[in-house]
Amino acid sequence: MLTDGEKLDILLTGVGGQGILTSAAILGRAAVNADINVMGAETHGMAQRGGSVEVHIRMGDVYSPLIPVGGADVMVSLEPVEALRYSKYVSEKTTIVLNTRKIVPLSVSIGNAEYPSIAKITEILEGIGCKVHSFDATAIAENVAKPQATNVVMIGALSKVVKLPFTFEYLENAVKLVLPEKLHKMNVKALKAGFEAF
Amino acid sequence: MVKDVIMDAEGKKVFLLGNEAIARGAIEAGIDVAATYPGTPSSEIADTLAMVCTSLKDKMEYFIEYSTNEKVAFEVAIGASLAGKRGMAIMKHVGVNVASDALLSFAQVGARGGFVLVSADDPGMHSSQNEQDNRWYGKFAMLPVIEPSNVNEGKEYIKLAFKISEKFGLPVIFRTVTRLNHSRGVVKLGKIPEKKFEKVKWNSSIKTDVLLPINARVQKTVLQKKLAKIQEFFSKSDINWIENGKGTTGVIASGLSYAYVKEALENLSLDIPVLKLSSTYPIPEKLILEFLEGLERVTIVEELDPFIELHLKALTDIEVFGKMNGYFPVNYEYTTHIVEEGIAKITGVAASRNYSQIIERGEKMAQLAPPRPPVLCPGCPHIASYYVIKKVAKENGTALPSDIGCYTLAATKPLEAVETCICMGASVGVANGLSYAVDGEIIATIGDSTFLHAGIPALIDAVYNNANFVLIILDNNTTGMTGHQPHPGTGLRPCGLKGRAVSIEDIVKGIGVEFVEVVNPYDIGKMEKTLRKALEYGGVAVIISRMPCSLIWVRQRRKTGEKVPVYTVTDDCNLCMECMTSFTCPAIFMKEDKVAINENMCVGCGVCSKICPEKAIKICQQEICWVRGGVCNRICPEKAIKFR
Ligand SMILES: Cc1ncc(C[n+]2csc(CCOP(=O)(O)OP(=O)(O)O)c2C)c(N)n1
Repeated sequence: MLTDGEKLDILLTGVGGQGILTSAAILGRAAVNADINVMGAETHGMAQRGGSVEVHIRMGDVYSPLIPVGGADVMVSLEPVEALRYSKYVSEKTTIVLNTRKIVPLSVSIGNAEYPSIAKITEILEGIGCKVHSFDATAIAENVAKPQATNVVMIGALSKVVKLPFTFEYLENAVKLVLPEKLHKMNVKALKAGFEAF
Repeated sequence: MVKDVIMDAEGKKVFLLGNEAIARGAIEAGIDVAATYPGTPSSEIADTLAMVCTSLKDKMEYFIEYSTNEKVAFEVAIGASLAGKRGMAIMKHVGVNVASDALLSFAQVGARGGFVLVSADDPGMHSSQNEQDNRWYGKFAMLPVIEPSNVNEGKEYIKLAFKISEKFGLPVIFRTVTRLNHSRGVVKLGKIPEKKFEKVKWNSSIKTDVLLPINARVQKTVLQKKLAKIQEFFSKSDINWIENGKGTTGVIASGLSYAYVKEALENLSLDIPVLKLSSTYPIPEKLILEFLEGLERVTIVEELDPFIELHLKALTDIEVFGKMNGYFPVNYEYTTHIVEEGIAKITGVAASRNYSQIIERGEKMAQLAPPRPPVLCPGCPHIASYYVIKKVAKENGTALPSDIGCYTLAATKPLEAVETCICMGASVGVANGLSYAVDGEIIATIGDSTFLHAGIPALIDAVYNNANFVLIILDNNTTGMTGHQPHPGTGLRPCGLKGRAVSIEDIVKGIGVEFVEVVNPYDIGKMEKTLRKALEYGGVAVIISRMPCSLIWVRQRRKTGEKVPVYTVTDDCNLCMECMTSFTCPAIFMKEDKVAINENMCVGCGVCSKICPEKAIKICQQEICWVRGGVCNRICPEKAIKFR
């Protein structure tokens, strides 16, 4: 639980189509069910067309839907360079859960830009003082379910490396409330696999 | 989530999107007729109402329609209101410009059944061609403006807006901003009223409803009197409140800015008086004067224009801090740190963090991330259309005016085949003007929804004035950009109602265009031939480039179990790079030093195989390759698909 005046700011980043809104909905639903105040800010419209996406989820004593710059307690990045793109939200106090599976943008494919190595990305984020937990979440998703379940694997991992204000059961329940029934089994597996990754 | 929007559980707390909360508010208010033209950030309000309306049949019945444009949507809601029903028009900020002719006059007529105009502003231009502060429409039209400060208020204040509208007989402007529409928050559900939709008898009221000058002169003063009463009402309304604090500097916060103010004050450990204002027009002067009593300075925190600030300067001579003296920015959206820094400067305390340093560091790191702008989807028919346009257009000679929609993304590299985007429908009007002014060829492009919205009058103009250009109507049978809403060309209507599809080619022919051809853009060769023929034609030539949005096409085939072929790059590829540097499909990428196709993204349009000079892109023939999801790369006999 969060006590009075406490908050937990989670920034989810990645690429349009990775299911980040679903991840946010699962976290939000779990919080509401645990009777915790929660707010979020989403990216819709233009930015969703394969572009980079940021979703803010704020729990506890908060008023505005946006996490202030330097204010993220946790950053969950479904794609490695997206963690760099939104690094203005992190500080030396931020824990980062990083999926190491790259989605290479066209600018890199046609040689107009460079994609930094995972080692370099981690080094930069650690340079700020962030605690970085990186793993190939997509590989885990492929193993236990489908690559599309990467978003849920990430939430599972998040619940292991950070103390969320509710138990794992709340997350499991939220997965079932948010996703259609035929996807329950696969995604609960993904959630658990994510939890066990660390 | 949508199922929470119709949950009949008074008092239960749910986690809703701002737009879902607004839709729920409309349902709790017992709306009768809602009309919209989609536009980010407003779209999910009407989409939600459209999705849940069948489930609410026999319980809380209403009509929801996707109108041809915002002016029509507004007028549809007027019709409902004049009949005594509750009408709601939903649109994005620029949509109100389109509806403004109706808005300014309807203000004088006044509402009979409750009338609420939802105007979703987009500070920061997340998905818009401009930034404008629609609170001015309140002042301009002399109508009340209500602004919620959080998601729960989004639901509650819609109900209040209908009540105010009925109590005072005026349409109410409900102004939201992107960060409210697209934020999520905890909402406490209210009661869903029981209502069967019943038609009523029409009662005419010619003196108020027919704005002949003789009536309009009277109605204008009627409007002014109503507004004065509302001003009194807002001074006492509980959507505005004063929070006491210490010191002689106060803060007035409007709408969502209140949330940033609360957070900033907490960060700064400041306990100063705050006036939370959710009625921003007419300004509740009495309440403001009460708040200012004993204060020496006041800070105004509001997004976009110095709207309250200007009013305040006319109302009082105490020192005002805001945008006009540089304490807050006039552009883009606010955030907690912007508000915190402004208040810190005014009150002389230090900000809780060194924000500029954090932002600078963050921006430096962000530069290491390769750009990932929004792109057209794999298989998008627009890619094929623009590939051909680019091929046919003479370099630096052909003018390519265009319009607003997904296809506007073709302005970016490598296509760069969209050269103007101003407002809905402008492509055709601009082409008319260019047709007078430039000596080269003109190929204009417009989406199907956009054509029906505002392209038709300009095409009539083109025929009438003997203009000379080719218009390509990119008919993907949906309003793609805003989330696949239906439009008249689709014939689809929400709530299980039957519609009739309006034929775009019949419209074009009916206007008098003589060159009209329908082509599937996936047939690159035919598309090119047709375009060349159209350019030779001289006069107004229209090509309807018709292929459903690829996202819908994939979904349909999945539903019916039709196979989706996966294309693969064979060893015949000589790395000419045509498919990546001229064509631009996000499914095609470089895997080490080879061109490859991501089989999870490929939708099987096959256009890349047609434009490949080496004919090196083929359907992977192995039966199992038709299965999507990573199996084929392991078993493909060509060993042509190699990922991961
Ligand atoms: C006056 C106005 N209303 C609404 C919008 C929002 N909007 C942007 S593009 C678009 C429609 C695009 O549909 P279409 O023309 O069919 O092109 P597509 O996106 O499907 O390619 C809409 C509704 C706007 N920009 N301006």
